[in-house]
Amino acid sequence: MRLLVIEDNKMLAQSLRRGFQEEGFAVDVATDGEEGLWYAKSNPCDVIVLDLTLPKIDGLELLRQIRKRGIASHVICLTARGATEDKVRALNLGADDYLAKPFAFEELLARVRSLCRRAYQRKDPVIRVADLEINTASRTVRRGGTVIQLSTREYALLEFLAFHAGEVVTRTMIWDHLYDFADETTSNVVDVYVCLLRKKIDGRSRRPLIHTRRGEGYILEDVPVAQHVGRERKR
Amino acid sequence: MIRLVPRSIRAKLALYVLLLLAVLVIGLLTSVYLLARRSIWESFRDSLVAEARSFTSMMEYERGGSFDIEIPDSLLSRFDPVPGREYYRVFDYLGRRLALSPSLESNSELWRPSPDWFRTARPGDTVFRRIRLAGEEKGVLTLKCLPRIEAGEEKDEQDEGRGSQAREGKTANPADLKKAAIVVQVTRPTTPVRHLLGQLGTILLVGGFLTLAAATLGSRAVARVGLHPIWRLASSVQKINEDTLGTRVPHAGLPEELIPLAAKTNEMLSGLEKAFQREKRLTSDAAHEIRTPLSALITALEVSLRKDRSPQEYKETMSECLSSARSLKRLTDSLLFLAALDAGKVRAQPRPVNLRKLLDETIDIYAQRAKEKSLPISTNVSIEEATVEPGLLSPVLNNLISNAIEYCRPGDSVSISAWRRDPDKAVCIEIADTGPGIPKSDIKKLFYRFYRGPRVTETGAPHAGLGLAIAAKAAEAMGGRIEVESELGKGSTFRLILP
Repeated sequence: MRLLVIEDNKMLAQSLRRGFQEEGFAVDVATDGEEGLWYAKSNPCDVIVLDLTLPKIDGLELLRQIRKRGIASHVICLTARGATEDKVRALNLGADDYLAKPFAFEELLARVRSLCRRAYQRKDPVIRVADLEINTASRTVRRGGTVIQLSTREYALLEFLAFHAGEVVTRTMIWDHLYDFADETTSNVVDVYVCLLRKKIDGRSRRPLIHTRRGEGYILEDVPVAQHVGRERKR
Repeated sequence: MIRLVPRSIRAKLALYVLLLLAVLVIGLLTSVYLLARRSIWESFRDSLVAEARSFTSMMEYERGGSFDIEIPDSLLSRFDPVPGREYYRVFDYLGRRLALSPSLESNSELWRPSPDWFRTARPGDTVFRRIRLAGEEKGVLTLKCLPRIEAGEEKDEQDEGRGSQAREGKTANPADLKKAAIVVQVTRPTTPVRHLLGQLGTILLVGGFLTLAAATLGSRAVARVGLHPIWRLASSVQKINEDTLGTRVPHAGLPEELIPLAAKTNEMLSGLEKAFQREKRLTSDAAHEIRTPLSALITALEVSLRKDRSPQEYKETMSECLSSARSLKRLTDSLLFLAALDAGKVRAQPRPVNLRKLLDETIDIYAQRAKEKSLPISTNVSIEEATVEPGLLSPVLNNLISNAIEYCRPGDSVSISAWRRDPDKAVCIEIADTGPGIPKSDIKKLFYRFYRGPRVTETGAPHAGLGLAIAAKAAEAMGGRIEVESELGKGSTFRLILP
């Protein structure tokens, strides 16, 4: 999941980047309103963590502009001002959630994950595809009851595929949602991770769940083997 | 203890109206009563005078000094010897009795005027007296008058058929008007008069009492109606508390005397509302300034503790946390210093200070930063020593000099000068830069707490926006002030003036 953190306190911004990255999020950081607007415009992100007191463009004004431009990302506002009016104004301007500083990182993380699920119209934190079970809250994956250990990146990829279960996911979509601007990788890396993930999830299972749609992308789907036409040859 | 004058305006007003009415009513009724009494007594006396005069027509002075008195029976019957009836007496000018009503025969003596009066009174003179006789009050009227005087022949006496006669005084002297004068006394009970007066008094008393009772109720009602606008104003003011400072007292329908009061109240409310909002904003700003570094601190530690890290990573986190904690400390110091200045707890205790040295020391602190930005600093100090409070002067100099260096662009310059102004020998310390300058509209705001100009937030300098607020307050505590001159693009000059 891709996150945009707009926060003018550099130390807080860096801590948030680090914390979220370690949880498998792709994180972009902007330290003022203008930069934040540019990031929000140029790349679709799932959740925006927005500080309300920002230089150049104020947080509330930035929120208004984000909504005016039809950017659909979920927004959680952070503010050090405890005034109820601020909360009400932020929510009325289109914020999805609100957290007062100082906050516990765990709480912010839980709220951001909840917003991610909402972004894909899922309320149940557990996603099931055939005998594959992905718990997006505890970030654990089981196949047929057996826990599968995944790296952060692998998990993030699986989660993204699971959110889109039954739909084709293009490489660009994966790229946009799982990698931030700081990643210096090529789109080739997506294929590599899909390959790694497939090994762990499907392995030698008779019932593969991750399929390749040639020329389109990937799909996480429970398809009977008979109907599956030609498995892609490994590179 | 009973209060004689009540506390409420309404009761007071009602009381005063009532007292005034009472005085008026009592005065009016009393004068009515007195006038009525006088006229009633006068008419009583007049009727007695008329009766006394009627005797003169029944008397004749005969030549030779004797009197001929003929009193008709009809008149005499009024003077029967029954108590409570009327009496008459007739005297000659010397007070000798000439005639007496039958009813008086048993009573030897009534009141009579002094012998002098008998001699000296002129015909027509009267004396009225109220006396007690036979257990009741009677009015006695004494009249001196001239009877008819016989003209030669004697009148026919036989005419008086049944008329009883009283003849007294036979001796005669030369016809002398003086001697012919007689004195008639008529007496009549005053009971009817007093009865009438008593009735009148009762009527007036009852009427007065009823009037005052009505006035009591009326004055309360009048006071209530009259004071209703005040009561309304008071109740609308009463509803205002610290949460509803936005409400205003309505002017409409208020009497013109109360409009200034309502206007003043509204004015005060506006002032209070503004002060409350300012206070709220200050608190909110302070909360923001404290919570932001605190939040950074907590998040950095939390994220760091989520998993095991290398000593290098821990080191980095700790040094970040340290800087955050330091900025919190600076902020706390600033806020406490400002609070102390606000509370007037920081007293200036001026003592001689080497100003040149103090300036040099302050500049030294920022010399490194100036060098990094390649800002030349020139000084021109023409005073050695000044009598100031260094605890207050230092923060001001620190702030002004660090601001100048912070906001200057590389290549600008800063000049610091100090001198004594001519007429009043006030110490002037000027910090001038050739920096970007401040827009005119922002100059006043510079001294607001937590205010950061747009350029400040752009540079991302870690300031809370308290520096100039503190400097201004500290200057004020030293009895001085800070003046600012600035031109966009050309530079700013901050001048501290200490008298």
